[in-house]
Amino acid sequence: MAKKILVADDDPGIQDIFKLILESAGYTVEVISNGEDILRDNYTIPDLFLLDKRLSGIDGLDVCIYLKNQENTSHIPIVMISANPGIGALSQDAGADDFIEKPFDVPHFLEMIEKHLNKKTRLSQ
Amino acid sequence: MERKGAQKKQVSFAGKTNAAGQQKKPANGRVKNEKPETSREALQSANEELTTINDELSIRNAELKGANDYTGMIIESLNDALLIMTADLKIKSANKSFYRSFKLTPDQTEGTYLFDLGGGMFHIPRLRKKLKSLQTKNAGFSDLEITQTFTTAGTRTFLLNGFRSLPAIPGSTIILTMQDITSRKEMEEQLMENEERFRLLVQNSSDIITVFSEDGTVLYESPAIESVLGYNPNERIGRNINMDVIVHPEDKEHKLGLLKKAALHPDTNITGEFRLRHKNGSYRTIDAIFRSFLNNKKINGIIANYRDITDRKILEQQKDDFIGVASHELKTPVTSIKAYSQILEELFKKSGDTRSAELVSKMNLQVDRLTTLIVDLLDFNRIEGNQLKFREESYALNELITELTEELQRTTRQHAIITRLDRPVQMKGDRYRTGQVLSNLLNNAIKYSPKGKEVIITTAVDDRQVTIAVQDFGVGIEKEHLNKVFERFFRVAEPVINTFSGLGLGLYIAAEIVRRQNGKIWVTSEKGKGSTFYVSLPVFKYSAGINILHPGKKVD
Repeated sequence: MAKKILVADDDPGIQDIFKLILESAGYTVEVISNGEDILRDNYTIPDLFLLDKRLSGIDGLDVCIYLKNQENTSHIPIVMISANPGIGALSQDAGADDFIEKPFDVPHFLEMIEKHLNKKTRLSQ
Repeated sequence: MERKGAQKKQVSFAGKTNAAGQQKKPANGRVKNEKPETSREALQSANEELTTINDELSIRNAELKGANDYTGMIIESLNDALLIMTADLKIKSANKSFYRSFKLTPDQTEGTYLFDLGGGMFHIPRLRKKLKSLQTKNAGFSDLEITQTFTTAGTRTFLLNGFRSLPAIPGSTIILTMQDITSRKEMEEQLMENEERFRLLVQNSSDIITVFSEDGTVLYESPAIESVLGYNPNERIGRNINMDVIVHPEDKEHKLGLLKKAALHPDTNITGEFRLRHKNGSYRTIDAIFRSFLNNKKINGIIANYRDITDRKILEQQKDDFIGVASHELKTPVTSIKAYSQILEELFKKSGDTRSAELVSKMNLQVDRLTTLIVDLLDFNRIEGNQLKFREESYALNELITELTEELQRTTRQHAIITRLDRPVQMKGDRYRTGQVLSNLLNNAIKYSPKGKEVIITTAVDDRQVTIAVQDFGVGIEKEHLNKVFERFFRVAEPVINTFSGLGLGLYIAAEIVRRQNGKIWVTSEKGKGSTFYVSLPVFKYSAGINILHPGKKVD
């Protein structure tokens, strides 16, 4: 079964891009634009979270911290996305598994996603 | 002449003595019998007496003359102008200083009445009144200050003293001395004006100016404290600045440190920032300058200048936020374009349309350029606004270099990026920023060696630091430009290589980042043969796990 990735980003252009890239790589994608939906558990648990730092109403880093502290999501890899050059360090502080800075290189991005999904698979097996 | 006069006097004086002698003699009972002899003796004795008196007189006379000369000399050498007048104020004589001060000659002066002098320029009512009472009541006067425009000397201020030489004797002389205090007065006025100006400056300054003693007691507080922090200057005086309750608790230590530093370094400005509590409870951000004048006996204190920069800070924060928004807003569409172009490239490749794939690939490179420009502009803005933020984190340098070179190798087929790394070291600082510097140097190395085949990155570790060298075999840099390459806006302006575009900010930003991490950056180059850029940075820990900052402590 295809791996499911939840993309949280409030920019429709970027949502579109992630959908296009990830779906053509064979993943199932669920897009939400409101970070609060995650806090309200208004989503289905994916195999990987892709969170933009800037979400409407809430900082993506806070969402990351929240997810890492929930029993049912703490094991799920989280990749942070941001245009902020300091995102690497900020992601680390928030407990994210990885980060990607905008604009990003598509092949590099896909490599990273695959890496984290495989790690998870290996661990769960 | 005087001598003869004196002799005449002596004769009459001798006569008197003689007479006295004659009166004495009959009392001796020798007058009658020894008359001729006695009179001869008397004459002889009188003569002897006369000679003695004469000698004495001539000595006294010489003394008198000397005294007279002495007085004359004193009068002539006086700095003060001096007039000797008759009782009815007719000038008998004046000294040099008088003639010099009033630009008059003895001819114009001697024999003239004071109030007629120089067209009546001494006709000053207050002086006239004083002289009148000197003439009539022998009332001398001193330090009469008069400012007057004199026809011959211009506007001057004098201190006048008037007295009679021998008040008891009618017809005695009146002496008037005049001390010119014009320039002293001017200086005093200027001084007062300056003092007033500084006082006004301090009192009306929008900055708070505080003077406190060595032990921190507030000696003076300028009125600005009322408008800035809401306190009355008087309620602050006498308080100790060291245990100041209005300092934000988090800033207390920092402020005390500044004070200590100021006290230890007299005549040096010590600057810092902290928050002070306004009387209404809110905190204001203060930019402070402390300067110790403890060495200066007149001030013997520390002067503090506080400027309220709260509003500026808010503006800076707004600007910072704006840069954050701009950074996001500019990068978002670029992210989309880059992703679309890469997807397109992949699609074209799959369908076998290599020409289209190539074109889209070129488009992708242009997007990368645009990205670099945006990043540089934003970083430049941050540097200029002193808002470039640095993290303190521990990272492995060799890992960072490997990551960077692998990423960069993907973008170039022409150049082989060769890494020659020394033993691994742990760094303390901002990993992202250091990476930015190295990727800038590596990108430059590729960019400026269009015909080059390789770029070499080397590290060399020693006791305290690691030196990273990025070497290319490209166009090189002219000797005269070597020092300028790290300046902002510097670009190699040569028509031959005008293909090297850019804002001229990359190396400036790199140099700032290195400098802010206590490192050094420099370059060696030979025109036409290539350049080597060096960055040296302090090492936090060597691979053996020894923390060089705290050698006793092992760090994991």
